[in-house]
Amino acid sequence: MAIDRTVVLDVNGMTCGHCVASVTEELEDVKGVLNVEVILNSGATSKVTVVTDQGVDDAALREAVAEAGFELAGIHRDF
Amino acid sequence: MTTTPAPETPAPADHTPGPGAQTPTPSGQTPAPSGRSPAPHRIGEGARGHAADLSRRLWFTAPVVTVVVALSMVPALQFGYWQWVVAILSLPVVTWAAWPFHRAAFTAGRHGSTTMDTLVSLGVVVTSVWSWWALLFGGAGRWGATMDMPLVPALPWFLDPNSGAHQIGAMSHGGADIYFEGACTIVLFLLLGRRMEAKARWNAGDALRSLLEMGAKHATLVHIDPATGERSQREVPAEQLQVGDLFLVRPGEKVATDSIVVEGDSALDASLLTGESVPVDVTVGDRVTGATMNTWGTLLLRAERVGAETTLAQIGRLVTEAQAGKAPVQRLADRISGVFVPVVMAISLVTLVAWLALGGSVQSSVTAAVAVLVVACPCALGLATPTALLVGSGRAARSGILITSAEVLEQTRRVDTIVLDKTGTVTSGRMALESVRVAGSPRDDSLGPSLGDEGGAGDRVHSGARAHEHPSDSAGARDNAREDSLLALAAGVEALSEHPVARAVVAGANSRGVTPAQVQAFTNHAGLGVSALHTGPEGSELVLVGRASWLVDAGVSIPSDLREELDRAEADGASAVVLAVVPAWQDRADTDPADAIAPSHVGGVDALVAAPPVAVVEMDVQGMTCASCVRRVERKLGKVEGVSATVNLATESARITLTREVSNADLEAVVDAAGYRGRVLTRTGTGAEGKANLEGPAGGAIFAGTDPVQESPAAGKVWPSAAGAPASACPSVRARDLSGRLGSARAGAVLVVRDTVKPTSAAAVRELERLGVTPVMLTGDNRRAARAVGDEVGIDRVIAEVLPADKARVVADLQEQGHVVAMVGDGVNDAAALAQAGRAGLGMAMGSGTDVARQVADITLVNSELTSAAAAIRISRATLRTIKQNLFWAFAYNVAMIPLAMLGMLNPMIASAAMAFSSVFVVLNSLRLRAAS
Repeated sequence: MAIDRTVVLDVNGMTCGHCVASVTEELEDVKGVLNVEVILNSGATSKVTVVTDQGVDDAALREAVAEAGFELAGIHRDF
Repeated sequence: MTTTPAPETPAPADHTPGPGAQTPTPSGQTPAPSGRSPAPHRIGEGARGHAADLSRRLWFTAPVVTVVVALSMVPALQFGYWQWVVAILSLPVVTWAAWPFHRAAFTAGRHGSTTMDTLVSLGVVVTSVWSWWALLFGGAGRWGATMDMPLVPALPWFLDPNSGAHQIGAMSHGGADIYFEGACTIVLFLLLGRRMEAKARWNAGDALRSLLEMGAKHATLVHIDPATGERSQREVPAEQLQVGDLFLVRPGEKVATDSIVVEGDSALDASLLTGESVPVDVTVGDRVTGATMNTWGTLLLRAERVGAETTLAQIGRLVTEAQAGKAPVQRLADRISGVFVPVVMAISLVTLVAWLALGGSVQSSVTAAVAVLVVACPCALGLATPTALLVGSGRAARSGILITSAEVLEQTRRVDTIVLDKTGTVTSGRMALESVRVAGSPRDDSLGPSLGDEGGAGDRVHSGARAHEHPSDSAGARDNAREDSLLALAAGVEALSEHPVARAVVAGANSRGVTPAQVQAFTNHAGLGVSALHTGPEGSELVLVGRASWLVDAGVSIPSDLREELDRAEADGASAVVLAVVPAWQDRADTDPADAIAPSHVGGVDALVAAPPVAVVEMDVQGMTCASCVRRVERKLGKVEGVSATVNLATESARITLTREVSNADLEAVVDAAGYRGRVLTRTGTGAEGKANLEGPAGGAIFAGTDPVQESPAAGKVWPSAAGAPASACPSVRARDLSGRLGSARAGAVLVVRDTVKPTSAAAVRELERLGVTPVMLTGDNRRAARAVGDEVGIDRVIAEVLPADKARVVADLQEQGHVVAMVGDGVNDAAALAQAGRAGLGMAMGSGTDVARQVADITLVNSELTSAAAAIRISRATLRTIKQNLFWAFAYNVAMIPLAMLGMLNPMIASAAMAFSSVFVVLNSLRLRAAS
């Protein structure tokens, strides 16, 4: 059984609940993502906490955020 | 509200709208089950009924009173017991004919208040009762008694040197006087005055009625057989149209109700509604307003709002409500009446007592007291405000100015500052092409403000564009030719885009006589720009038009002179797009099908061109708040196979292109699942569902809801392509892959577009200043852009870089500085500022603006011209001035006449005639407003 990991993403450009929904859905669509939580900070960088299993790499998350239409400013991986 | 029942007709079973028709209207309202709506309220209907009632009483009263007066005033006609005939004839006059006054007086009296009717009623009752007393007990009923009624009043005996010689209307027998003719004439003149007032009300509503009654009377209902696609038409009364019905409007006919164009192109003349003289072009998907006149093309329309929901009916309601409102100045008149009437009654009593105390006869004392009551009747006071208000607001409505409340008139008097929102108010809110700057050529100063010529050794346009160059001896001519050829390319690509900038570029090309180039394989790079293929002499070239940042990111280099142009345009508040042409371009899909983004379109450009969209769906999307919502809706829809969407936040709409059949319900479900509210408005298609119903080579079908509609032979119109674009060059449903392939490309030209100042704005600003109102322009744009517009129209005070949320703050600040502010705006973002201005001043909404803006505004300017704002202030002030004149004359009259009456120098009949004249004067004075400009 894979061990779950938590990744914190800094995302720019999110302004409203719809943005949160977009990012959440895109990230949840990434294979291996178990849970997504977004702390919306309108006008500044929002914190997105993603719980993943081991098979998920940064590039997939970056792509998902970009797909949702936002800029990923940073990734903090917590091992 | 008067409702006329819709004529009973058999249920329109043969044109039952398809399932699409049951789709709720964009506003979310589901049509009433009956589909019938009450006939629109007729303005002034109440006044007309009132006038008719008064007329009836008047027609009865006039001959009776003539007989009464003749008998009373001409002694030669007086036979034995004539006075009894007069008394009996007067009975119905002072009771039935005067009933409106008695009733009003009684109603007011029950609430412990007095109105002008109290005076009238009291005068009539006192006069009649006194006369009956005289007749029965005062000796006036004797056989052979005659009466002498001199028209020239005699001095009262205490002022007359020949004291006691003569008294007004004295019975020659020395008995008590009778005043039946006095009571009767009061009633007659008052009825006349009131009827004139009611007629004035009715006449004042003429302009509004003509506005409301200008709607189409009939509509050609179109029924499309769902099985065969066959169309049948029949003529129905316009009010029978239901939401979702399809109907035809031929050239020269009026649009029956607010609707959406399902098929056809035309231009609609809305001048009756808005005063705008230029017909507005409409095409598939456009909303049209009922009562506008169709000019050249035949349109198939789907009814969107009917009956009381239509724009026309709403305008009527607004005006009706406004006219029902009471101006503060009217309340003032009522307050004055409340004091005035008891005072007059007291004066009347004092007169009676004083006459008696000074030794006057009972008859002459009562005569004087009654004369005071009658002459003081402030009915002119009561007429002063409503007549002026009605005529004034009717006059305003004729100029396309809707005043939503009567208080507005009072406020316009004090307005000293007018805040004008720039976009959509001072400017048209529509982009227009300002200049085209070709790389390496001197700046084109013929179009924009001169900022110096920095021509010199610029870059040459690259080969793709150079191919279009016309060799010429003159460098200027060569530049012009190059400019035209690049503009033609840009317009060719932009013709397929719906973006406002794109429309401006295409319109700019058209106005310069440049024909848009033929392009293929159009791709919309949402939010960035557009690209398409153009077949030049050197083969296929890729034409890109879009934001500079997008092209730079894609690897296109922008020459320094074009960069300067871009900077200048941006600093100046204009928008600029860059044109780049990449020669010898092949879409990657041509060579490497695996790279194609949409697998269903493997086969590249040719396949793309050969596979036009199945359908285009126009959808209303509600609930979007920001740009990422737009992306979210686009992405969600884009995930459905064969679907691509362009979403517009401002219009809350989506244009969805389908390359395979997807039902309206599925599309709505996708949008709803994303957290928004999507409702399909129109569906225009050429695909399988449509083809099944097609017989001929027409090659297109329109979907009306889910009802396929056979298309007219003009197949090119099925696809809403812009002018000059081949029908096959449909917008692609996928993004063209540009990555890493534009490294060698160079920008060829910069196209600057700008929001244009309305032609009437400058004149309006001058007019406002003449009215003593200081214009202030408010905008979110940068200072330079704002300053440029301000200078153009002559506004000194410009407040720029204001966030939408801060507009109300700016208005409040001005108010705190002691200004009475009027605000003119049109957008949702102006609503708060409009409401803020309305608190202590005026909010004026442009008719083209949003419903929100119009709801909070005090005045709506239907024709969207700033000159209307000046006209609104002018007409309101003229109305207020008239009200004050009316009030002054009503008072002056009363003040002048009361002393005469107290001295007994007026007999009741002359007093009532003079009083009636004051009412007529007021009405005539008010009617002068009809000619106000």
